[in-house]
Amino acid sequence: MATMAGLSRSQLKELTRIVGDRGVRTDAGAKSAYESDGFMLERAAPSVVVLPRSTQEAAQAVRVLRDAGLVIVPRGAGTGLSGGARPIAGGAVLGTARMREVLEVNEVDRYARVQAGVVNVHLSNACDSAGLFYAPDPSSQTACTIGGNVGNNSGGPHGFRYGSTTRHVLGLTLVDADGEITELGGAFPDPCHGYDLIGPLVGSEGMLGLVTEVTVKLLPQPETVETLLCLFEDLDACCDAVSEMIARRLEPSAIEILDRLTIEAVEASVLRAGYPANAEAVMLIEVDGGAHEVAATSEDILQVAKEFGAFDSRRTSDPKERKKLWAGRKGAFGAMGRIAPDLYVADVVVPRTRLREIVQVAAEACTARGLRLANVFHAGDGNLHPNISYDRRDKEEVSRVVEAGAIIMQACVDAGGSLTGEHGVGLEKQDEMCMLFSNDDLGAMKSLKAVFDPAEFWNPGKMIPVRGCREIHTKPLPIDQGEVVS
Amino acid sequence: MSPQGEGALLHGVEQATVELGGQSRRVAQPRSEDELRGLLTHLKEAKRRGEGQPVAFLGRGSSMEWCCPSLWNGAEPDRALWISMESLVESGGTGIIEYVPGDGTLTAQAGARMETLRAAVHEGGHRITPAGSAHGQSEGGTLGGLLASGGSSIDRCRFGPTRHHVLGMRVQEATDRGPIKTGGRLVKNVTGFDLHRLHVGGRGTLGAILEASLRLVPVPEAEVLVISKPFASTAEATVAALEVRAQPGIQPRALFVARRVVHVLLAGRERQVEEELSRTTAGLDADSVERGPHVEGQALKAAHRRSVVTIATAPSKVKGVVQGLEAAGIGPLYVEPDAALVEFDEEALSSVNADQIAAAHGGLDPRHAFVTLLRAAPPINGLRSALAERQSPPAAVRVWTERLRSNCDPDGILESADFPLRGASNP
Ligand SMILES: Cc1cc2nc3c(=O)[nH]c(=O)nc-3n(C[C@H](O)[C@H](O)[C@H](O)COP(=O)(O)OP(=O)(O)OC[C@H]3O[C@@H](n4cnc5c(N)ncnc54)[C@H](O)[C@@H]3O)c2cc1C
Repeated sequence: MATMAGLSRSQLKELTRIVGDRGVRTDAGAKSAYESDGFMLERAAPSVVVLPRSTQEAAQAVRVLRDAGLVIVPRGAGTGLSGGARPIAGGAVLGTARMREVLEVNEVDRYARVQAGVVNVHLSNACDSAGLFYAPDPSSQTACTIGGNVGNNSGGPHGFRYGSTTRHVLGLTLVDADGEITELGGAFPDPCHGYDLIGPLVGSEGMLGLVTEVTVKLLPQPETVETLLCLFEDLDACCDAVSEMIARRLEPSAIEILDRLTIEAVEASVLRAGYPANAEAVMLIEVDGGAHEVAATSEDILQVAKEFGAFDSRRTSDPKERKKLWAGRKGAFGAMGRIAPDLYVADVVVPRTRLREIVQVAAEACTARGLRLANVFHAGDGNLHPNISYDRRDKEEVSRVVEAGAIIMQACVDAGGSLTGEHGVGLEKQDEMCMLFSNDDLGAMKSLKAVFDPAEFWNPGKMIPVRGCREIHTKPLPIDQGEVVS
Repeated sequence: MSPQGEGALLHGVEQATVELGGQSRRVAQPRSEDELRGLLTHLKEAKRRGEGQPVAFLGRGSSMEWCCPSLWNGAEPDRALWISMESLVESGGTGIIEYVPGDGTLTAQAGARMETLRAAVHEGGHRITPAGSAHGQSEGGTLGGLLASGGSSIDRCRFGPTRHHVLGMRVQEATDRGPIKTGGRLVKNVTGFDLHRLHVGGRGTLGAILEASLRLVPVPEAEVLVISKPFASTAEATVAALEVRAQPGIQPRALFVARRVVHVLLAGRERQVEEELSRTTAGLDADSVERGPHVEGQALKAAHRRSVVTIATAPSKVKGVVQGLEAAGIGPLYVEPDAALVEFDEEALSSVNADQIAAAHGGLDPRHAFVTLLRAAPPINGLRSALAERQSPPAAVRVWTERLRSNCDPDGILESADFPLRGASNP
């Protein structure tokens, strides 16, 4: 790992010259604002936060930071939930908060080129008038950045049909540890020179370099969009209905589930979506495409829901109503802030044939430990988010939460699932990587890091366990400053 | 080393002389992953002793001609050692490790035959994307060969390139590490780096793909193939195809121009397909409209080609590229307007000489047209150095590529003269 030194006065001056006064922060306020991302169980203060406005500025700043011996953590909006953007104590944070320009929207070739700090929803807005849309839509899309989406290979409800970020990235501009700028891919559909380097760069959690610009694929807006809401008296039946929809090869664009506790939280918040209070679970589905396709698929979906015990359902193509229904889903994490001081958002993924089983394991693990569990998840992708409420001041409760989290993760792995479907490994699941991967597997990942970053300059000590798997037996209990993780 | 007879052992691995692509070739046939590892260790040691030999992994050889031309068509075919991946599939077995119809995923050994896999998933109501092999050829390859060659097929218009449907792999690199796992068998998963993406299209130069997991697509309720009347030129046909692409409410599964004829494959819910058909034929003079599950095969047949050159561009530039090539006398051309690919085979070069080719190439703007030579053909052979000059990868890409190569294959036993492209200053 690069040794940690510090910025000299002249280096600080040089940084200020490159990015301007507002682009360099060393004050206590900035340090505390940046000391964690959305995974607030782990914090560390950086020695400097640098906010360039362009690729050129970022590249120059990297050279100064490298010469100062500081390691760098790239950062978008800091909404990540696994600690990927948590600073390395005493190191630098290189943020894209001032890189917010949509550089090009190409209607014919259906792509957009944006600076990495563009907020996800702003990109969608920018291409709306061209009749195009950007498919990946994390629930945090009003805050998270395209660079952060690339960092975590983020998904969203519509990932069910359209896939996560990786299927939409055509090109990247990367600043490496030498401050060199390299453009990879572009509007061409295929990797040209050889290996598909964009593939592993997407989802690399800021460990291989700073992405400063991204070329993404845009899709034509569907002719018809319908949102369906199916109400169930039983969460298990709701899960089974999803498994059946997948088994019948139905192709909506999103299938989401919210359970009773989540519904209550949403309905008690400003995001009231009109989800009925008498349901144990609601399934929120979106179907898009041509009018006939949407009609046929919606009917089949409603039929399956009915067969699996849905006691009521609604169907709307009214944009206002649809927006309201989705606002409830997308604001669910925020709304849950009301039901407890703190929330642990787990993110696991299982084959879609095993949904009910894992939801039950999560319920049992939490009930046995006296914990409150709320579920809101991308059911169509098998991507579960069991959310456990707790109070960080109660250390004993915190340890029960961690225990329940570990049980859920192990159950997923045992069921052929994985540790994370969209939030990334970061710091949170670093040790658990050994549940899935052997030392050889992790060795290959280390090798990839060394390809791009031999000096371990970018976001060191994340994702890949630092110690060998055999040395890791238990996950250390979290340190005592937890907070809302949402 | 001279060729050995049937059944001879090479470091414990059976070796045979096999007739492939019109040549007798030395093929090592490991029966287990341990045997494969042992063989790679032996080859590394031999290389360190200065007794190296050219080596490449072999599926069924269906894409070797363009994936590995130097070795496949090389002057000393008997010097090369081909390592069969098919031999790792148990005799009489399918190579399928897990097909989960309820999850729409398939995991199979690299040596599994594509036709076997396609038949198996069809029973469960699924298809594999890419629909056929890279160049519309009839099947005949293995899963590993398909992925390592990196080809996509006509259905990328709807589903995107093959690499987007690979969920994970097990790979044996040429390092001291055992087989490594990357990704998983899940349709959504971000646990660890997506190393498998490097092996899709990596032509086996970073290691042998042992297994791969794929996301499957449903068999559609209805399928229709619209075939236009022939246009006067490929450029005109391309314009018509681009109009289909731009028309709202049509989502073709495949859209291509072959021999001046536009082909539109529509698939999905029955009534939707009929609606899209009427929109398509409103703007396109159809010569025939065929319905039924066989039409995808028919479209693949129409797209069949033995391209010598492929040009990747952007949809807005396709027409210009096609016009330039036709003006130079090159044709017929194969065009996929959405993927923005223009290709031609040796026949297209029959009435042009090397100078005319060079002039046509000079007319392409390198910022918008990336040219790849797939096979050797006399009039285009001279382009190689011009391409290396014009399409040199960025310096950092060369460095990363070298590091990747030396991390995955430190002794260079899998080195290929054909891939990856090295560029002019690093021949
Ligand atoms: C309420 C809420 C809902 C959420 N819903 C979803 C959801 O539906 N789907 C989903 O996938 N995620 C979701 N998330 C998680 C999070 O929003 C995503 O991971 C998001 O993509 C992070 O973007 P960001 O800009 O905040 O990145 P950050 O958190 O700042 O960074 C994320 C990672 O990417 C790296 N990174 C950031 N920018 C760059 C760059 N320019 N170059 C290189 N590396 C970079 C960082 O180092 C870090 O490792 C949610 C989070 C919250 C708080």
